[in-house]
Amino acid sequence: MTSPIRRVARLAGLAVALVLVGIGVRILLPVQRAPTSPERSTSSERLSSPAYTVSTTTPDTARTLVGYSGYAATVKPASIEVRDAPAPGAPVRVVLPDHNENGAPQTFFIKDEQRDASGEVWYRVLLPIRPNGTTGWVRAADVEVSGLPYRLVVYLAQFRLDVFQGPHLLRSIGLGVGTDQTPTPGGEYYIKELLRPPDPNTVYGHYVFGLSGFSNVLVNWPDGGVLGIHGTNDPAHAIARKVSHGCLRMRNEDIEYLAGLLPLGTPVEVET
Amino acid sequence: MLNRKRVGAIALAAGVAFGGVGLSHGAPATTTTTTTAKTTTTTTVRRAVAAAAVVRTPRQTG
Repeated sequence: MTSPIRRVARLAGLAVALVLVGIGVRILLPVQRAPTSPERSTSSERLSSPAYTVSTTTPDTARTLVGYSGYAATVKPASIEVRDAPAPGAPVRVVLPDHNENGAPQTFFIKDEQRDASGEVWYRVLLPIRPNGTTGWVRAADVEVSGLPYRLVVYLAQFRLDVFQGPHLLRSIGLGVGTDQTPTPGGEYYIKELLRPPDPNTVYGHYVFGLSGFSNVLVNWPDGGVLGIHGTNDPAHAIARKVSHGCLRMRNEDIEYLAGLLPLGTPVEVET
Repeated sequence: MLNRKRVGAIALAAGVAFGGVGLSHGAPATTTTTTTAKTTTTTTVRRAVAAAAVVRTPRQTG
């Protein structure tokens, strides 16, 4: 039988071995700091200092956005000039305020970045204006950039919305989609606002995400026919059917899940 | 005197402290500084948080 002293010595040796393995892992493998946490962040996290710094000397084509699969740009000044090209003298495509018509912070989805002749960084952003898919360029100095952990893919023919975090499928959600007369248009959009209706017992249900895109049919609708993703007060007749004016309807428990998860700027790809 | 539990805890703490051993630290923000021939750009990217809801009667297409 093993004596207590020998047992303790054996355990101490094991502890030293584990420490040495830890040191080896630290040396051989870089610590992964990718933003993968799915939990809702707190306000204190927004104010926390940068976790780490990367310094590089690079050519003029150097990218400043690294580490996330997508990025949102939130307008900093009272209004922003969106230009046709990444240059201070390029024509202004549109001027937008720092908050949209529903009081949400004006947010864009960043599609590309480029430097102008002076080396200043510009972002090409998807815009919440007609026609669907319109983009323009904004100065990086005029926006606050945030990394987007999630993306949505909508399969209209399958009445389904999939939620992805990176390559990982988090949830598949059943949908109601536009009728044949008022179809949901396919395309690339992003979430521009989250609304909570004062009355939760309407066709919109508990929450509504406003998208950057518009109906191709309802051009005279209030606010121009903005597409949305929302809940419903009639799930029995809303899911897996062509029932809407172009919006995407889902059960209230599903829209509540998304409302607690998704940031403004989250990309939404709608496949016909 | 050291017992089995205590030694195990010390070993685990030491391994985590020195190696990380696969634990995710999270990343609330990343600051990237790129220096080109013409300029130096510092970009801070914070992880986006869930949107704050605005109480408003919706006017989406429904």
